[in-house]
Formats: sequence, C-alpha cells, structure tokens
Amino acid sequence: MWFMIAMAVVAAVGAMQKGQAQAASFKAQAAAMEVQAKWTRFQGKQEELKQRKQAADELESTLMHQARINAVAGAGLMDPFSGNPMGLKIQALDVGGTNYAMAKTNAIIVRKQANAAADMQLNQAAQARQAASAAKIQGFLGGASAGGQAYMGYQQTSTPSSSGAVT
Amino acid sequence: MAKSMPRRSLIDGGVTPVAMSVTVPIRNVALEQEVAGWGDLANRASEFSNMFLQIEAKRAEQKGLIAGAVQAPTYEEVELAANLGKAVDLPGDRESFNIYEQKVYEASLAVTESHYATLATVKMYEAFAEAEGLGVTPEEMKDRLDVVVNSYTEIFSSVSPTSGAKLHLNLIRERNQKFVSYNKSWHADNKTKRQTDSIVFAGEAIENMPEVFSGHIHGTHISLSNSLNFERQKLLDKLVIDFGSDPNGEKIIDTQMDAFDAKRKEVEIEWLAENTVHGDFGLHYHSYLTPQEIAKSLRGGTDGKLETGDGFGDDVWVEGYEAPAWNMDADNQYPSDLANTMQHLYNRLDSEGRDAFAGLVASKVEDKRKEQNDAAAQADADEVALHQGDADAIYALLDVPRNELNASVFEQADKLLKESTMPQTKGPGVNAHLNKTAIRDHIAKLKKEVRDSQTGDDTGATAEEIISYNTAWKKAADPTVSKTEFAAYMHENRDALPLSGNGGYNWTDLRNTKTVFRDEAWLDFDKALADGRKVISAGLRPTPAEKMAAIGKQAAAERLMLKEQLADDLEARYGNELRGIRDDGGDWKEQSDPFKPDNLFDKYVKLKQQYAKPLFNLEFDENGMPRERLYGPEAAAAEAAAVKAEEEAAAAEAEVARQEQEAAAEVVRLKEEAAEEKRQAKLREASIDDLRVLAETLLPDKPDIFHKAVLALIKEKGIKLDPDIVEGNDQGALKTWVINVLRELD
Repeated sequence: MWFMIAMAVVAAVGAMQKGQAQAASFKAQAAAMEVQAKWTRFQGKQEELKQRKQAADELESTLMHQARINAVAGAGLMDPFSGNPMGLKIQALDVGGTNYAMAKTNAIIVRKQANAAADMQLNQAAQARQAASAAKIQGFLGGASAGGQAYMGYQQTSTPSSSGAVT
Repeated sequence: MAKSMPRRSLIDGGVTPVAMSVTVPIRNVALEQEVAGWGDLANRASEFSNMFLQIEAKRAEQKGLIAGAVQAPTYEEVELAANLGKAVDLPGDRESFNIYEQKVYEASLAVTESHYATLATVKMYEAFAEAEGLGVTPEEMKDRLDVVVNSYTEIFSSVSPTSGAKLHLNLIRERNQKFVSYNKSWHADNKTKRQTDSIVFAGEAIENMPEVFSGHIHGTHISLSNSLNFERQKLLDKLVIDFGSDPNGEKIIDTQMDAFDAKRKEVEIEWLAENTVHGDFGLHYHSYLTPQEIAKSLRGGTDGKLETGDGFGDDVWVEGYEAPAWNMDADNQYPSDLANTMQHLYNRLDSEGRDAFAGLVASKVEDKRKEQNDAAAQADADEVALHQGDADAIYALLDVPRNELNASVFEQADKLLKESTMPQTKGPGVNAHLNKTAIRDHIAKLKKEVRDSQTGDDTGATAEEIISYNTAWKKAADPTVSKTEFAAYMHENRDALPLSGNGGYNWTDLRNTKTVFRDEAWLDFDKALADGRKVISAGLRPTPAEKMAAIGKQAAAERLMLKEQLADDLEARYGNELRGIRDDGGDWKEQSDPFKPDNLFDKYVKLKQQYAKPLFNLEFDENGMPRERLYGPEAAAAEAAAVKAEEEAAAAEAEVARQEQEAAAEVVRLKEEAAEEKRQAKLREASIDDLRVLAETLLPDKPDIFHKAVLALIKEKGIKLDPDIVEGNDQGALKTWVINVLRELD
C-alpha cells in the first residue's frame, strides 16, 4: 500500500515538474518568437530598401534609354521604317515606368510581408506563453490527479482491520 | 545604311517580386529534455503506483472473498429464511467503490447461492423421493420439482436477480436430469406394474367368473355369453397392450387366455348343472328319477326321445319352435332368457363337456336328494324327540308299582296323552310306538290290570314283571336295537318274564313288537336296496323306445332280453348279498352307500362293467352311469351305429332266410317244371300220334275238319298253347303249329 502511495506522490511531483518545465519551455519559445519577429521586421526593412534601390535603378536605366534614343536620332541614322524617336521614348518610358512601379510595389510587399510574419511570430510567442501557463496548470493538475488517484486506489483497495471496520 | 534606333524591352531585363521565408527557432532542447524527464518519471511512478494498486486490489479481493465466505449466511439461516419465504441479508456492498466490500458481497452471494442450490437440491430430492414413493406420473413429478425450483428461484431472485437466474438455470438442469431419469425408470416400472396388474386382472377375472354368472340379470339386452365375451375381449386387449411387445408376451397371453377359457367352461358347466338341478329350469328333476335317468332326460327327454319341449336336446332358435309351458315367459310367448342361455351354453359344450355336465348333474341330484332326506330325517328326529318326550312323561307316570296306579294317575296320563301332538295311529314315517293308539292301548292294559287286581282277577304279572316288560318294550320299540341285540337282551333277562301268557307281559309279545318295529326300520333298507338296484341296472333296462324299435327285429329283441336278464341277475345278487349283510347284523347302510370305500354297490357296478362290455359293447363309468348311450354325440353315434349294425345283421339274416326260401321254392318250381315238361312230352308224343292219324285221315280231303279235330285234340290232351290257338281264334297260328308238328313227324 505504501509503495503505491509513495510512487503516486513521485508521479504527482513528476507531473508538476513536468508542467513547470513545459511552461518554461513555452516561455522560451515565446521569447524566441518575439526575437524572430523583430529580426523579421528588420529583414523586411532591408528587403524593402533593396526593392527601392532597384526602383531607382530602373528610373536610371529609363533615362539612359531615352538618352540613347535621342543620341541615335540626333545622328540621323534614323530608320524611317522602324519608328520615330518620340515613339521610342514613349515606349522606353512605358517599360521603365512599369519596372519602376513593380519595384516600388515589391518594396511595399516585402515590408508588409515582413511585418505580417513578425506579427505572426509575435502571435505564436503569445500562444507559447499561454501554453506555458497552461502547462504549469496542467502540471499541478497532473500532480493533484496522481495524488487523487493514489487516494482513490487507497480507498478502493483498503481492507478492514482486524476489528472488522473498513478503513 | 541607316542604323536602327535602340529600343527598350522587358526582355532585356526587369525586376521580379522577391520571396522571403523566415524560420523561427522555437525548440528548446534543454527544456524539452526536462519535460521529458519529468514526464518519464511521473509515468514510471504512475506505473509503479498502478502496479501496486493492482497488487493491493488483488489482496483486497482475496480478503473480501474470504471475509464474504465467512460472513455469508449459514445453511440453516438460508433454510429458515427459505421456509419463511423471506430473503436473506448479505454482507458487503454490491455497489460499493471498495473492492473488498464488493468481493465480500460477491463471495457471500456465491456461498448463499450455493446454500440455496444445495437446499433446493435437497428439497428436490425429498420431493423426488416422495413422488417416487407415490409412483406419480412423470408429468406430476415435473410439476412437483418445478414447485421447488420456482419457489427457491423466486426467493433467491429477490436477493440477486442475476444469481437467481443462474440458480434457476442450474436447478432446471438438475430437475431435467431427474425428470429424464425418473421418466425412464417410471416407464420401465410402469410397464412392469402394468404387466403385474394385467396378470392380477386376469386372475381376478378368472376368480370372479362365477360372480359374472350369478350376478347376470337375465332378460336384459346383453346376454350372458356376450358379457363373458366382453370380459374375455377386455382381458385379451389388456394383455395384448401390456405384453404385446414382450418376447414372451404371446406365450403369457395364451396361458392366461387358456386359463380363462378353461375356467369359463368349468363355470358354465357348474352353472348349467346348478340351474338344472336347483334353478327354475330344473324341470328335469323328479324325485322318482334316478340321477342317471335325469341325465338321460337332459339329452333325450324323459322318454328317451328327442321331442319339442324336452329341453337341452332341442334347438329353441329354429323357426316354429314352441316353448313348453314351463319355459314360457308370463308376458309373452317366447322362451325365457334363462332357458335360452342354458340352451345356448349347452349347445356350445363339446362331448367331454357334456360328459362332465351330466356327471355333475347326477352328483348334484344325489346331493340334493341327500339334503332332502337329511332334512326329512332331521324333521322326523325332531318330531320323534318331541313325541318321545311326551311318551317318556306318560311312561314315567305309569312306571310305578301296580298298587300305586290309581284313577288319578290314569287321569294324568290320559291328559298328557290328549295334549300330546303325536299322531293318533302309526303312519308312514312315524315310529310305531310313538302314537296315541299304542300308548292308549298300554294305558288300557294297565287300567285293566289294576281293575282286575281290584276285582280279584289274576293278571298273571307282578309289578316287577310289568316294570321289566316296560323296560324291554322300550328296547323292542327302539329301531336302533337290532333283532340280534334284542335277542341277546332277552337271553340275559330271560327270567324276568315268561315266554308267553302272563296277561301279555311275556317275551313273545315283545319279540313280535320288535319284529314290527324292526320292519319299520327295514323300509329304509328297502329304499336303499331299490336305489342301488336302479343304479346297478341302469343302462341295461330297455327303454320303451328301445322296445318299440326292437319290435319285429329278432336280434335287437334278443339283445334287449339279454341285457334285461343281466340287469335282473345283478339286481338279484346285489339284493341277496345286501340282505345277508343286514340279517347278519352287518352295516348294510355302509355297504349300500356309493360314497363309502369298498362298498357292495361298487362291487356290482364293476361286475356290470365287466359283463356289459363283452356282451353288449356297453361301457359304464365308476358311478354305474352308462357312457355309451347317454353321453356325448360320439357315444350316441356309436350306440346308433351299434343298433344299426344289429338291424343290418337282422336284415341280412332275414335276407338269407328269404333267399333260402326262394331257393327252396325254386327247387320245387323246377321239379314241378321238370314233371310238367315230362308230362307235356308224353302228351305231345301221344298227341303227335293222334295228330298223325288225323292228318292221314282228314287233312287231305277235309282240312277244316282236320283243324277242328286238331283243336279238339289239343284241348283233350291239355296241350299248353296260346289260348287264341286253343280256342280257335287264330287259325293261322294253328296251321303253323300243325305244320311244324307234321314236319317233326317227317
């Protein structure tokens, strides 16, 4: 009987310690997630900057194209059958505008995506903290449960003493 | 040549969206290890705890089972509760969380269930034994066992429905085993019992058969034969049902039925004989007929011939049968059922049965006659005792010395005599000395004596002599005292009285008295002698029918005469020998009684058997009853054949005589014919001579005269010719005859 109780106590303590450890683990996970979220925002910023630089590069490239058209046109080497310089400029602007807009949009996407990821990680961190709390409570409940189980087993298997009473 | 303008194209290069993935390191190995470690510890401890829990649970179970078994109600408590129809309380708690309590209840329930099962089994055994002792049917046995099963199951179900159902199942199984076993043994026992019952039934049916006859009510719709047939069929059916499937059943059935049939025949014969002699139908019994004659009349009527109304010889069923007057029903004119039944039963008897019947009738008639004789003798003895008392009183009054006899004494004697019921005179069956006339004569004699003494006349007898005379007179009148005994008494007391004279007080007078009284006793002798002679000659005396049949038949008549001579001879020798025994003082009654050993009657019956067989081919039984003529159809047929043979012998003898006469007549006739022939020859010879003369003288010239002359010659010579020729009516024939004669002459 006493072995059963002792083991039940050990099991109860183990369960509580397990809950504590799980709570700590979840807290650590939460902290890590929060760090990850910060890093994600930072990385997003970097990526945004890259995209903004590419937009700027695109604008520069567009300007280079227009200049080359002007130069070609200025030399008289124009092909009458292949367009006019204005048209070519408009076309160059069109392409360059599109690339520019795309690069700008990419910068926005990258930033927002990074923010979303960071938010999600923060959210996960909050969940981990909740899990830690729950694990702690569960550890206590598990310990109490083990104790209750031990008590119930004791009650279930108790036999009357020599006096005949059921204890 | 013109050089083309540089153009901007997306193909030459562009900006594409970026794809960025972020991996967040969320695992903490140390903490995970810690979690796993604590979890593992908790699990292992829990497992240990559970293991110890199971061990403790087992221990608690064992303790609970032990405690439950100990604390369970005892057998007596269960029995008491069951008898009271109450449920018992069990320790423990079936619904408790505690294993120990559960097991206590479980164990006590098991023990209690066992007690209930044991108790129910015991009760079932008791019910089984009781029912088995009563020999109830299997169905009733099942009902009785079901009562036990249901009662205990019901009681126990109130304790535990589940266990009750289990107990019920076990008890039902036990009950079924007993039921099957009992059913098998019951059927086996029942078969034996039924077979025993059948044998007992057969024995009772055979034993009680006389009651069927005596208890039968005649005139009902069911005849006696049908009643017996019904009883027989009933017995046969029962035996077939109970023994039909047995290997030896047929033999047993045959044995019982044979016994039944034999008893039936025996009882039928007894019943027939009893009714013949003692019943209303016993018209054949007449006091003047011997048993043999009665038996004979049963077969052929009192005259020896079978006639309508004679009784058993008739067939009352034939059309036109007219029942005799004694056999008529008062309300209608049909033969009574009793007579028909007797007739029917008699017709069923075979030859052997009829022999037995006739013998039984003869025996019963003899018994009846003896009973009547005994009754008559007893009545006579009673009357004699009464009269003897009266006479003794009178004799005692008078048996005094003469000088004491006076008028008063005589007056008393006269009064007593007057009051007595004894007959006036001696009559048939009345003792000679016990009548008023004899005693009155005695009183008168005493009166005369007294008167003579008073007048001076000598009576010739003293008072002592008178007393001696009176004493001797009683002996003389006593029929049991024989003549020889009385003669001895006389010799011893010869001096008491003179031989003669003495006023009548003498021995001669007493001897005469003895002779008279003794003769009276001889009537019995004569009767016994006559009865014996009748039996001894039975079957030898010809009946009127035989005499009639023998008329004109010499052989039959001689046979009857010889038989009658033998009867006369045997009767005469029997009578002479019996008289000799009587006269010699022997016990003639003993010798004439057929029922006493070595009697004279048997001796002459044997003589009759000895002579009758070789002489007449007649057989008689040990009672002197003729077997051949009276008993059985075969015997009757043999007798008829014997008579027929005698008749045929007589007829053959007559035929021989007739043939002898005819032969003698033929001889005479032949002699006469020879003489006639000779005479005719002479005539013819003479006639031919004359004819020749006529022919020579008349024929040539006067043929008509010749013919007339021939005719005259024929007449004259007495030649026997056809009358027409002789008379001259047939001229042609005459001519032919003449021509023939003339040719012979040539």
